Amino acid sequence: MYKMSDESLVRAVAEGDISAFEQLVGRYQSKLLSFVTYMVRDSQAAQDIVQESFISLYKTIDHVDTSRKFSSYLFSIVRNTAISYLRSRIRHAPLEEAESVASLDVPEALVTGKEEKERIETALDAIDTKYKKVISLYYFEDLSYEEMSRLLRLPVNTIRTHLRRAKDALRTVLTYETQ
Amino acid sequence: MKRSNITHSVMDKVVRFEEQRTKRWLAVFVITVVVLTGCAALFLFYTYAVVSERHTLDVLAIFYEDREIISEFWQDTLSVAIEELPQKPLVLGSSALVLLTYTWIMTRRRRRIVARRMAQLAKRKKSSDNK
Repeated sequence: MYKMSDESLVRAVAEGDISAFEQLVGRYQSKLLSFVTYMVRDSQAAQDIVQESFISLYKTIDHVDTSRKFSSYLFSIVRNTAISYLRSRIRHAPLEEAESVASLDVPEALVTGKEEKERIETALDAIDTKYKKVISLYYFEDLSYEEMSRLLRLPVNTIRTHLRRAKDALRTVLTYETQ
Repeated sequence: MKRSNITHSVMDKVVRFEEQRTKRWLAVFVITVVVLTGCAALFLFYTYAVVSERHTLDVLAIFYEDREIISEFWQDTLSVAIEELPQKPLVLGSSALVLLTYTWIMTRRRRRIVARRMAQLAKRKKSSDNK
């Protein structure tokens, strides 16, 4: 079956095709759930955040710029919603919990195999937060340098450098763990 | 397409939101069209009634009997027409008519989208009722 591009689906939704939105939700839900679950470390909250993000996307779909890549736009909506959730949790949580929540803002590694996943998660936790972000976005969310640059509001060359350093750091951590 | 829990609940919320939004839009649109049509009809009918009562058209017909009169005395023809016609209701009626036309033209795309959404909402409702 012919698979419509994200941008075509967005245009179709804006033209009144509700089922096109269902396709978009089906296409991105698992990626977004993984992304948010790792950020907030709470699968129920992650579901709420992703749902809220999809609803907010639907409400503003007329204003989506289809000349730009849709996935970056969607991830930025979800990221902002998750950050708002974390902020509200910090405001309402006791101090100790708030400190631990504040340190979490990295997407989940989309890997199969629980052991491997835990190993990479541990390794990711050991490296710098800014490197964790680029690794996750590049390898697990399949974003390009340009998309990451827009999402993280950093120059493309900085993204490239962060990714190189992140790989070096991750390699070091994983090698150290293996020994 | 496989519908997981989140797709289902997101679509439920989207459908609820869309039903409300469509109803609201339709209500505003119908009220606008009815009010503008009512105003246009009322004021233009009143204008016509006044024109008929004053026999304004008969006065203007005198000018039309001879085209040369109009070309020579067009200012007089115009001033007679302006004086004889009830200006306030005519302006109001014409404005309502212009606004109605503008609304109709400007909502062409939106009406098409709303019709499509309504058809899809009805289809969804029907399929959920059948389940």
